[in-house]
Amino acid sequence: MKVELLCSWGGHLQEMLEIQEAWSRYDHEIITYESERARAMSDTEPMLIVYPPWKSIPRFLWGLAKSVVHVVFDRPDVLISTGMGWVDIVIFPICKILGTYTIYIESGGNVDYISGTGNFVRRFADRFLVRWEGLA
Amino acid sequence: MNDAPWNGLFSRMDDYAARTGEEVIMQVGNTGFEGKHTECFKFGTNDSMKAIYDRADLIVCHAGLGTILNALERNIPVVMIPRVVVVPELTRDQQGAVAEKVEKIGRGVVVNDLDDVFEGIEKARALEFPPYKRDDSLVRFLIDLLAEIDAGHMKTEKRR
Repeated sequence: MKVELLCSWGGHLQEMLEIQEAWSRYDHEIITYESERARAMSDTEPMLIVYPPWKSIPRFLWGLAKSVVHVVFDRPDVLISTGMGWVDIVIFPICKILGTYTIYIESGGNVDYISGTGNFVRRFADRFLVRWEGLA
Repeated sequence: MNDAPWNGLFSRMDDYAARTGEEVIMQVGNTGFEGKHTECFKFGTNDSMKAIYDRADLIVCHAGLGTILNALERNIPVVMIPRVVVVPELTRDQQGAVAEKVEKIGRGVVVNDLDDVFEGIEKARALEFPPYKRDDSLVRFLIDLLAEIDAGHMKTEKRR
């Protein structure tokens, strides 16, 4: 089974690593934003590193296009995201069309309200998971 | 640290290191800050950050969830400064909400003014709490769910 993982950097990457026990036993690939941490991880983990939009929009769009190609050709069985903004917004609908089982995990950093990305993605998620009871 | 203007905090921590003689290590990102009495670095890898967290007996941070989780798992008290403290024009900042939750369970101190950082550190040092018990219910749920999908028992479905 192939699992595609989407996560932004910092806390979102940390939250993806917190659930590593669940996905690491399967064939997987991590799509994440460029950071020193991600670059170091790419030595041992299959990763597609995307340049973040706040640093360069053209380079981000190139990375986003590569992500789409990866997903369309790999056809993952499962997509799990802990939050990657615009990448989620593009990839989730595509995966839904492809028949991928989609899981979105709202960041534990969002306590009082669901993020904008979460609110958009939830219509394409087979499972939409929140960390705080008040958001359920 | 994220890209918010944290130099005010960095200079106070540099001052703290000078006054107390304590070893202070700071991740300063792309701010360009250079400490006179502190060890500063821009970014770290997983391994280098783990090594730093393992040596720490207190963490001062911007209330980012990743850093807080690292503090909780090591039973280290954490002083949290929500981003809105240095970016007051932020209208929505959930870091403050996260920080309050952590303070409520007695594992950290929220600081809402950079001038109160030293006081926050002293209060955090005085905290006593039992060993952190990690909630692994999400991992367990995902392990079971992925196993069901792998076995072909789960099809894509409407969101529950």
